[in-house]
Amino acid sequence: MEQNKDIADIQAAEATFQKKKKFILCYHSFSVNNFKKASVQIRKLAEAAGSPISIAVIPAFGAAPESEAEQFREELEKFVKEGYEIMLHGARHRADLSLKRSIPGKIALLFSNNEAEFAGIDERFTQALLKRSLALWKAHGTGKPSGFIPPIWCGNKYLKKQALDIFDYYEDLSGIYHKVDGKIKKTPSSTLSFSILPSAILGLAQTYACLKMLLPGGVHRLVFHDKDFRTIGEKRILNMVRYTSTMREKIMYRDL
Amino acid sequence: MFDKFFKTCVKFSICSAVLFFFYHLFVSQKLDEETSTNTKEQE
Repeated sequence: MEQNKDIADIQAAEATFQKKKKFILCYHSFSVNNFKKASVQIRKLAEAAGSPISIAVIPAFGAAPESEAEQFREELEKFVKEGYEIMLHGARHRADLSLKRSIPGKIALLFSNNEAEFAGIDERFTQALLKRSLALWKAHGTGKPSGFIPPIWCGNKYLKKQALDIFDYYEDLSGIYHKVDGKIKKTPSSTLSFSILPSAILGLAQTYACLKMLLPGGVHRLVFHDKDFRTIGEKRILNMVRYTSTMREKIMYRDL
Repeated sequence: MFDKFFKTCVKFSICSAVLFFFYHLFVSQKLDEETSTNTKEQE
């Protein structure tokens, strides 16, 4: 009896320690083009984590037929009702090559295969693109997203301030930002993403991600894309989520 | 002084690499172990 009490005390102390360490689990690039497959993947991730997760949504419809767009809206509404958190992930993710960009912006496009939509564009175009992103989102009619995640985490010097004027949260590769009493507060957070890594180093990247989660410090973001389910494999991804959940408490951006 | 600092850095790097390697083995086993358990359950 006494021994059981000791074990319970140790387990309670471990649980308290684990709760101090937190992480965010986010599925990226949920869009009208992949929502059927992605919905299943998101629900599996949430099941492995034990609660709803954050979803970064690309709001552009593109050339999708109206019936697909309607199903996409319904799926989003379902996620919102089930308690999933929605983040906006650019307007259409892919960069508009006709826009003028700074040299770092052009380099970002080169490395991201033209996916870094906001990289290196000027203040006026940043504002216009953000408004377009929000307008596209409003066409879905499912409330306001919690925050904004720039595609490939590449922005420009105007984006953070402009995004935080509209949304509660903004993030880049090194942290998550939100406004507290009018001042921008940064939460240190590493981005643990696998989609743009070459397959030869995926195993090491997974070990690095698990090690980051094991060590104290930061509210790290574990990010998965549709592509990861093909390269890493579903079972390994779900195991990684389960393993991480034993070391850290999963939260959402709005819990920061 | 520099020599001592250099040797300490090398020792630290080697120790980190060895620890990372063992953790890599542990994590790989952990992830695969879970997978095999799931597979058995499914079977």
